Amino acid sequence: MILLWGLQDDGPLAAVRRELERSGAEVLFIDQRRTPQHHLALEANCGRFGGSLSHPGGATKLEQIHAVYPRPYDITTLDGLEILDERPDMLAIAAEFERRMLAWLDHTPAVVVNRPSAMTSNASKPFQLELIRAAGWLVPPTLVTTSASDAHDWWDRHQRCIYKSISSQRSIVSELSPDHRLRLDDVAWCPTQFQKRIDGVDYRVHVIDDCVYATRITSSGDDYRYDTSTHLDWIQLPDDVSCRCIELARSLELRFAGIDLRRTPADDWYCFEVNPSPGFTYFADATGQPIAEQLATILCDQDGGQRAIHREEAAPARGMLDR
Amino acid sequence: MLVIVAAELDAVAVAAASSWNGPARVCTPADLSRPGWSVEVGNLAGASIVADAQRVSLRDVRAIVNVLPGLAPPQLFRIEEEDRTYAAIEGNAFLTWLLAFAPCPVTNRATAASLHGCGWGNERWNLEAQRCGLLAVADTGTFTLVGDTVFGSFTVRRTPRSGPSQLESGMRLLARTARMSYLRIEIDGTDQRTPPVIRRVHVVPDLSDQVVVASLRRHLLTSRSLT
Repeated sequence: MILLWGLQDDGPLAAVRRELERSGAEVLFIDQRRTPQHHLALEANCGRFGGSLSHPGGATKLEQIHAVYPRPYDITTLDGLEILDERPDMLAIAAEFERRMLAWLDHTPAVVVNRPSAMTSNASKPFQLELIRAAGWLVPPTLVTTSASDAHDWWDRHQRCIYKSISSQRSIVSELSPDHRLRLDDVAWCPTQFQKRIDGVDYRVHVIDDCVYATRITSSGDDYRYDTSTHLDWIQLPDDVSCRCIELARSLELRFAGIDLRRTPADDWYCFEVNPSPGFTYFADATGQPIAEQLATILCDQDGGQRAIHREEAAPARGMLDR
Repeated sequence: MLVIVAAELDAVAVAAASSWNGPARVCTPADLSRPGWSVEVGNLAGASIVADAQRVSLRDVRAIVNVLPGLAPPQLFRIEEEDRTYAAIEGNAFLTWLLAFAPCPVTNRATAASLHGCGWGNERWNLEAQRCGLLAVADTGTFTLVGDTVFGSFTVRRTPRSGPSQLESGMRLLARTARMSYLRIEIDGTDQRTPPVIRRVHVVPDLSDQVVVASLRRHLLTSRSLT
């Protein structure tokens, strides 16, 4: 049985569910908005977790679940958590369920895409940059400071700089402009992250075990996600870059990763971030990349997807992109 | 210099800093809203931090002890109220990075999962304690590990063949597995029909316990830096 956990209307989860159902896989879906209708009995016995998952359809022993694709949202900010209006204590019950799920997912022998402990690294962007750098990638020079004079010096040294959030809170990446000179004193109130602006072309690379799907992003904005003229192309990466993406995902213990790269005019490849739970449908819908199909394949692999075959998914012929 | 990261008005942390037998400062959430922090990715050794409202080079910091459970918006009283939630999330992400990669010894070194080490829940602690053999030799009591030092006492003992050395090695193995340098574990073995279980694990050093403070001092002064 394959367990999916998240929201019914979450694009990536819905896409994987469609693929699994098309392949005839047995799917158990935990709708996060109905979390209080679920119960996870978890016990440590002889160094292993055992127990069962109760749900509206019955009860399932944990050992029957051989794969999990978790994409839970922050339950405390979730709209429409059912029953909550009538039973405020349900939030605590739901939180306890999630706590147990996360503990189990970190330790079950089932295939988990991805394990919760591996998904935490991008909660602190500079923390994750240290790991990316340790894996051998170029990363943009990055300063976090509360010192206006240090920020001014940094800006003067690097000429063009952007600023963005330190945490995983979504923020619009913006370039420092002359107007900011007057406001830099405000950094004293809260550590603020500055990065040297790296010129070049953006790439989003989705790695699923040893499969690589690369998308070139053409955008004129500082942050392509907020640029309506953004154009996406499925391309093939140079072999060495592709291999390094696979190694990076492995070093972060991620079976599925969305890696943000930028290629400079000098052909240097910088890595900005690794998303451990990528919202891949934005890219797959625009390019036709079969990411949901590949995720379904590794979830259906009863051997735990241990058979590793190094291959890059080639970009299709131009005509396919034009469909 | 020792730096203790602690909540504002944490008198216990202040007392521990003054009894340190050497230079020591307390770094509080309010210090995060003061100029002086500057940290570059890939060069934490060259960072500067703020403690006791003073800028300090991280090169001069011999060790860090973190007793701050996490940054909460109300602790950031120097910031406008509507900005405190954002600042707390950003501050936690910043501290996670700093306390994970600081080149000096840190107790407990942060991970992405927690400012205080591995971030395991009680189920995982029990699982790993079983694997380490700790629960096979333990019984009701509270046991503390600081570095390699283990102390504590059984309140009830029903495993006559197990000695303190087995418990100590079980604690050390568990701490190594969790990559923690401080643990205080409450074990409950009162139900004679079932094996002992871990009821609670404390990962924030108890600085009100003078044995802990003395053990921390020994541990931190003999630990190697990352660089």
